Amino acid sequence: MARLLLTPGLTGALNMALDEVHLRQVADGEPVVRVYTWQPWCLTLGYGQTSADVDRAACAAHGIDVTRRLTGGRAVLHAAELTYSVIVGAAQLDVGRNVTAAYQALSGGLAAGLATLGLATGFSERHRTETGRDPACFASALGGDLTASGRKLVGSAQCHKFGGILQHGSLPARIDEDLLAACLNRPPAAGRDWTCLEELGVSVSADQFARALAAGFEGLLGDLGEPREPTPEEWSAAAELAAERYADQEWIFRL
Amino acid sequence: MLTPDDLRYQPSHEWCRLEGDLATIGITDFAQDQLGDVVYIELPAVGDTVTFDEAFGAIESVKAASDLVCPVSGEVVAVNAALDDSQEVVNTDPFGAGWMIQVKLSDPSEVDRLLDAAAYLAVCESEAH
Repeated sequence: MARLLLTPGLTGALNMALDEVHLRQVADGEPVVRVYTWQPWCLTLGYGQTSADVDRAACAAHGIDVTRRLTGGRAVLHAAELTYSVIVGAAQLDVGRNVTAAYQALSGGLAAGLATLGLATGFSERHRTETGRDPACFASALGGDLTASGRKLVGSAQCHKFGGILQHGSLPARIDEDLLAACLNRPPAAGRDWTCLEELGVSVSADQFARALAAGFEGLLGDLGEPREPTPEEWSAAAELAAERYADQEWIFRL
Repeated sequence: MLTPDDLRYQPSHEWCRLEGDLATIGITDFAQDQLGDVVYIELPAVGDTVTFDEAFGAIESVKAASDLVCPVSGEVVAVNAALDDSQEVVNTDPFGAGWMIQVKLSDPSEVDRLLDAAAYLAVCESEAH
């Protein structure tokens, strides 16, 4: 049976490690939907993104952690936001290497969940870059990202590995473009293509978001039950993985 | 969509060109189209050992990172270093300049487990629908 997890504010390293722990076991185990937040705030780089995009001193000055995701895509500043991950076996989703199809399948559940909160969203269907090399994820809507009123609301990224598919993403309550620019070594964007909950006049708690996702993914994953925490074994494996990779400055800044 | 007849294929969409005991490996035209713009490729080093049906590297497109699955076992004897700075070649010329690694086969019989072009085309058609 698929599980619905709700974790308290965690470091970036521990959040990324928990997602990998769940991805590693999903091929022989159960799908997971998790809602989480970040303590302290954290800038995550895409798996293959150059760390030259990051101003490490500025991040440190603002008390912002930096880590690297297992998923693709560009940098995200995880601040005033709710984050989700959905992890399913590749065989269950049955989309082969088709990234767009995988996004549509998983973002469909996400959109259905958001609809229960009164948020009407649409899909961005582009899967080719048309926005140059802006290092920020929210600078462009691509490949299954969800938009509201034509602007990007949920930025998501995927990893296909260990026989499973991990999709995680950010639902921002608000975005501080100046802080993002400071962390990313670039001037604030001249225009913007994103929106956020505050701008849409919507307030959502982590618990509400988790229950909304459970409703949205019920068609794909079945009954997810009540929100709960990871198992002690998963916490332990995540702590180990966080220490050896996601908090390892050499690994994070290797590119 | 191209599926050259002179190549062998993995269902996970890697191709393999055989010349004696050497296999040149890359991803297919179908795979690059499904992945979208390739932005990062992680490959093994010359001298590394790779294993049939196991990950030999990673590929990241605009929105997803995925494993590259090896169609043969053996020792890596060449790596396409040009892909470090021009990953887009995998999109524009997946069977040519977009090749990834060359492997000296340790078990040539594994090649019999790979698909020919017609069988691979059927895999692509089933996934496309």
